[in-house]
Amino acid sequence: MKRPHRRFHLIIWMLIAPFTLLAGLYFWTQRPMTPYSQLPASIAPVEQGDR
Amino acid sequence: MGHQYQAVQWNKNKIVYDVYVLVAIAVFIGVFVFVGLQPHPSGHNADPVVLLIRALGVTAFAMLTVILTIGPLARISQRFRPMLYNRRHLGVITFFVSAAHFGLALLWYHGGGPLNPFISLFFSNPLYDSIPGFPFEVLGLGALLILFVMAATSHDFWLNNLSAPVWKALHMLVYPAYMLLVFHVVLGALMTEKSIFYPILTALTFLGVSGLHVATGLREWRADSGMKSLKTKGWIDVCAPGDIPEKRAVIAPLPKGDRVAVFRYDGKISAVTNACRHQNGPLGEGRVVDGCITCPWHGWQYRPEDGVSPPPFTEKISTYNVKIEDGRVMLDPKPNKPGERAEPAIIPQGAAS
Repeated sequence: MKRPHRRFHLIIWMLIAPFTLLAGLYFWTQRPMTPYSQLPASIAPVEQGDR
Repeated sequence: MGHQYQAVQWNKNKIVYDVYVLVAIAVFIGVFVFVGLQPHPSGHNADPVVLLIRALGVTAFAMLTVILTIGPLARISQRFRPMLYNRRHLGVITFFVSAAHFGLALLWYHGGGPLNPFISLFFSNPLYDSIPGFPFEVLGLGALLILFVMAATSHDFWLNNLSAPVWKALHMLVYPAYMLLVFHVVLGALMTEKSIFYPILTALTFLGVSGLHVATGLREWRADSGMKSLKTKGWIDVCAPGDIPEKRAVIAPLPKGDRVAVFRYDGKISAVTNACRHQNGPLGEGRVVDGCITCPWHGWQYRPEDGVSPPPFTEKISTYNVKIEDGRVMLDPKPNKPGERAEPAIIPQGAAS
């Protein structure tokens, strides 16, 4: 009996590994550079006493 | 073995294992939340619920990473093989931790509005065409659904009814699930993370897992093509009898990609398929225990001469004819029917050393 998928494991990882690494790196470089402290005024925390 | 189905095949080993895993998870989450609740120099105090959501997510990601390293590590070194025994339990627990992470996040972030939380999950953030604003939650949900399918079919009942190849193929969905989780982390937690430490840790973790799989895959590929040239008159020259350790095997790859486990035991040589009936575990990496070939993964057993499991079990695997000629173990690459007796080759005096 042939043990199935032995080479399939390798092929999948040969595809998944570079794609995930490159895509993940690209996604990460697209992150917003504004830290929480520089949120737009429209969604900035409301100070107490403003209302 | 498949003598009878039981709801859950628990034994003391599995119970102790599960207790250790659950205690480790509780300790990790407790430490994570405790450290996160400590006052921060910036004056920003973390929310305990958000910390718990993150702790569950980190735990699930770490557990899936460990699970994915067990297979290749067990192929690299025998020391890691015991980890295979309870891998499915670890997988099911990982699903439950992931489900807790999802459920809590769903209630916390989507449960307070007028919309159904599930509808809110998909439509409250419509930025599907944006990278920094992508609704990364749906990626995590995709991975969770795959983990659910795997957890639901983890029992031997499904393994028997789906057959090992189909079951294995289904459970290989864990690879795309892991990819989805990496994207879930990158597009979620790492998008607003200011420290470089966590992106590097995530990248190294993924590199480690994928590197292990690629390295072991290449090794298997090379092993498959290593012995194909040693073919003589239809029979395959495997090795000298003395090259096989007592009560162990060498694995002979066949030209069509199959593998045969050639065992030496009690002055005899027998050959069976290398694939265990249970999960296609590598029988040739097991040994002969109590007169039976014993799979290194979960201990399924077969008699070397006919490939039949000892009573009361009924599983059968293919045998192969072997002979010893000119001090070499020769293997007929044509398999016999599962359970068909193949006469063991008797090792001549002095040939086994």
